[in-house]
Amino acid sequence: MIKTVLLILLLPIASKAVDFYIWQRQLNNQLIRDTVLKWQRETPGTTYCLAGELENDGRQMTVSPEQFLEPAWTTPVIRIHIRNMTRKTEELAKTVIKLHTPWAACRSLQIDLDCPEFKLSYYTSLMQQLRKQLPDYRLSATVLPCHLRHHKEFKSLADACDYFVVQVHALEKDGNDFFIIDRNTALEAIKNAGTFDRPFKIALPFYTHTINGKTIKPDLHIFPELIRHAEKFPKMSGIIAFRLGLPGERDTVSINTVMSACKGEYTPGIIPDWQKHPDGAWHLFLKNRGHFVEKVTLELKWNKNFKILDFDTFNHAAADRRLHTLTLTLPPDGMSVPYLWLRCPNDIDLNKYDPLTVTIKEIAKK
Amino acid sequence: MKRHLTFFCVTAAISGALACSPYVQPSYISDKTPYETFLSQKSAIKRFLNNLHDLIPATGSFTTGISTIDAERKDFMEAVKKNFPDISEEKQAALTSDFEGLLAKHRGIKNHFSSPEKDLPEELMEFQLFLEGRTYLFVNRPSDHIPPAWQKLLALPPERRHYRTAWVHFMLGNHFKKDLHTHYDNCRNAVRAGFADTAGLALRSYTLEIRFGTNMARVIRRAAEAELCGSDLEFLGNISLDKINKLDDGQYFALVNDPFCREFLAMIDNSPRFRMMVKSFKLRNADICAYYAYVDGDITEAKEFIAILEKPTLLSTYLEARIARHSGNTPGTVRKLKEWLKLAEKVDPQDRNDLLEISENQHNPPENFRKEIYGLLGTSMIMRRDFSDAAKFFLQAEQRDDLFTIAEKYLTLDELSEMLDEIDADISISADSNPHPYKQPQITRDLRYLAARRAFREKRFDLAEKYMPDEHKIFIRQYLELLKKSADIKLSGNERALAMYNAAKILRHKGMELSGTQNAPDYFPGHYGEDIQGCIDCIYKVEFGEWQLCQNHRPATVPGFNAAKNHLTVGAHMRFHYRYLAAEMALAAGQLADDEELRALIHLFGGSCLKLRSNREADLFYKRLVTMSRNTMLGKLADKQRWFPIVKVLQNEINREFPCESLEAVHELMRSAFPNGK
Repeated sequence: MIKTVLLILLLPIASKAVDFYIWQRQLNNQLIRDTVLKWQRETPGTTYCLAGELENDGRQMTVSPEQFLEPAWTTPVIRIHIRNMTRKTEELAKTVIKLHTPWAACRSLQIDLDCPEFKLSYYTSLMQQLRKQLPDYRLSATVLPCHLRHHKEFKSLADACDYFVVQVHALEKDGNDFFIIDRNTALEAIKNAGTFDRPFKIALPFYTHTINGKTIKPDLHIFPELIRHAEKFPKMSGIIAFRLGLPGERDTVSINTVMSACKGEYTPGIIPDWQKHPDGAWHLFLKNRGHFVEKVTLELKWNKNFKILDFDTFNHAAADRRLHTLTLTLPPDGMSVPYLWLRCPNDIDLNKYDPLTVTIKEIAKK
Repeated sequence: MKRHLTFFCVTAAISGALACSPYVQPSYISDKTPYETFLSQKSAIKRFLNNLHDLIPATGSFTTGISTIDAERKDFMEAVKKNFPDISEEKQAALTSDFEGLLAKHRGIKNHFSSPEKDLPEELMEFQLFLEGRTYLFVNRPSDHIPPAWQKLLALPPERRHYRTAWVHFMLGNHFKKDLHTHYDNCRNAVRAGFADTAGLALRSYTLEIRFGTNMARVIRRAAEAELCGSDLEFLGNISLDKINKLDDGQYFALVNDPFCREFLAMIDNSPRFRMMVKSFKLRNADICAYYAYVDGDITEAKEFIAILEKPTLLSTYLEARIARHSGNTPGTVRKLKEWLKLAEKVDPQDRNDLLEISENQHNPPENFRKEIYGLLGTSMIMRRDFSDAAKFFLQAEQRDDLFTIAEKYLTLDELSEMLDEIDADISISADSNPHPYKQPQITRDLRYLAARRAFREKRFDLAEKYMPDEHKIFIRQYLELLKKSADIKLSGNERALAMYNAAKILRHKGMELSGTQNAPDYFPGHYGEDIQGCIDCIYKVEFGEWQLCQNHRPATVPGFNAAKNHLTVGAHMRFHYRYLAAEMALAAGQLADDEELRALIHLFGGSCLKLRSNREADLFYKRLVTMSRNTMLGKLADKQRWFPIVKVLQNEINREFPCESLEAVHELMRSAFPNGK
């Protein structure tokens, strides 16, 4: 109760905060619980939880809600794959409501339907069916930039929801190159969304895909521009980050990075730290601040010359003979990992010497 | 212009694509960890099963079987033959047709050509009951009870349900996932008890149990059982680590408490959670945990795991060597690496499982791990400044480039010779026509050749001749004879000059084969090496015709003023250092020659050694050609052209290694170069 009151008091701040999708299929996990509660304490926002999934082969997947999720601040999302569109909308709506039942306390529902742009009427009909059966629920639908180009059809869909979420990211291919978000497409989508005079939110990607050993990642530097552009439209009601990264996860970034990227304060870096092992060797720990996990070649700039008696690497890193470069897989965002040890004359304290500046030289080949 | 630009771009792209850099072997001397180390999961599983044989019950072997469609018919035919041994062909056909009718009915095939469905005789009732039960399950999905037909089938006496008992249990496992462990166990027990398994369902049940099983302890044990069944399928390697990671701490601890599962987790799970929980237990696979801890940079934890081991393993001994090196304890490193070699000798190579594999990168096939041990021993010996032993270890590791660096730079010639004499002399005899340059015996052959060239450079011609390949020995003898003749003061100046000129020609044209350095400056055999023109810090000063070298390319030894040039004093950019030596000999020969035409020819030769590399140094020869042979046609032409003239006959002479026999031959050459005195 106290928590709810506190959250309501924080509402004006929270409305400006970034919301998160929680896309884990099991929420009874201590790590998720701790991460969500920590985030809610610092910068509260809404969590959009995957509540169920209707697969193409007819299987249904359900996710049970957990106590740590405050219903007032949680929106369950039902993901529906394309082949379910062969069913009647009434029938599909019933299935959705059945999946949503454990989450009924949340009084909201978001539908994420893999809808082709020429079948927007089906999406609209589904939302209307849901509206009939859940009249006092806050309903929303995720849409793609291509949907927004069909003004008439989309208008009906937007009218059937309380708000819609423009998903400006998807894994797409341009020639041989994959990408997750394209700046121009995203800007155009936001502009189109603003023309409907209906409340909307923007879903931004904070995840990676690995294809043939290559990491496909979004460029977080373009996000402030997208957000500034979106804020020009009065009906734009918030940003949702896809998805909440847990500490140690390799395909997302930390909450801090998401926040800084949305505020335009994204300054990723690799922070070196020397630690002396009891047997006299120095271990070089590298902390990842804001980079996605991928294999990179780092450039090590030594500020002073000193004699290195021996060195070797940890965590499958590879160093060149002069220790000017180090090829390694970055640790997850926010984590610090040792990659190198070296021995030097005993009178040298590397921390005081501060001999190292680390920058990313290039993305390593797979 | 645009067209030219396009052509240039296309040409550049093609040449870039075709360019390929030479292979450079990873080096222990310069790269420290030249090879990537991997833990071989296959070997780890093999050792796991060998070590824990006592904890897995013997289960007998299962067959992979045939497809279920074929198995249905095959079983039926066998049952018919078994139950009706004297049946006529017509009756057999009728029974088969009835069975086909049943199959068609239960698969929902309409208008089947076979006769309408009939009940099968009592002896074959199991087939009918099985199909009825299967249809029941599909129609009443999801069903929470065993179909009545199958209950009836399982209640039959064993001889009446010989062919379908295993099938029923297998299907129950597929449908009732909550009890899949029990049903699949029943299926396998039925097969063990002698019920038919034509479709290989017992083995298949393992695969499904591993994929869908929720009780991880049972999954791990069944996977191990399955591995021991003798099939080639992988089971333990297919257990999902994700499923294990999703267990909460209580469930996970229960798994760690099970000795068998604990050993399995040690093999696949390198998470901090496992390493934290497992420390209080005895662990046979503790060396694998130690490896994971070492790779993660936790030396202290690696030591703790090694301490848990009852007896040292190859992996733990290797790790101890790496840890000793980390501590700066070189003698300890050497001791542990030698212990590894002794330990490896005790184990039969057929039974030995090298858990670690090394490879240049993930795309290359793994190499023998002994290479890593010898390579590390070589590195440790360098740290102890024991270069002879380092060379021997690098030879055993087949680390050709490391070996050659030591042989050329750090061993004395006598030490090198001693080492070569210890190696089997037969190895120098070529047996294979296309030997691998980075494998024995080619490495030893090349090492002998390296020693020969080094001996030549150091003027130890006896050793040079001893180790030189046969095809080059003649040039050493000729060179020595010519040098001797050039030093004979009883001979005339012209004769001595001619001898020295001929010796210089041998050096110029056969210098790489006789004296080329393996590393800088020559990079024998001369196809590649450090490209100074690729260095952005080295600048060629056109006005002076010389290089202004960067720190990396400047020679380590700065020669004094007028110091004799040799492979140590020439600049790193002065590849083919013997050309400079040949030019110096030509300079001395020019001083000795009395005959003006001979002198002109010698200076032309000297200039040709250097003019393309450093026109400033070649200029000395040009000036001498003009001033000291002014009355010759060659001198006049050079003066007129203001540089070395290109005369085809003379070019042919100076560009071949064969000696010019006499002064008369020189005069004849000049006459043919300048007929009619022009």
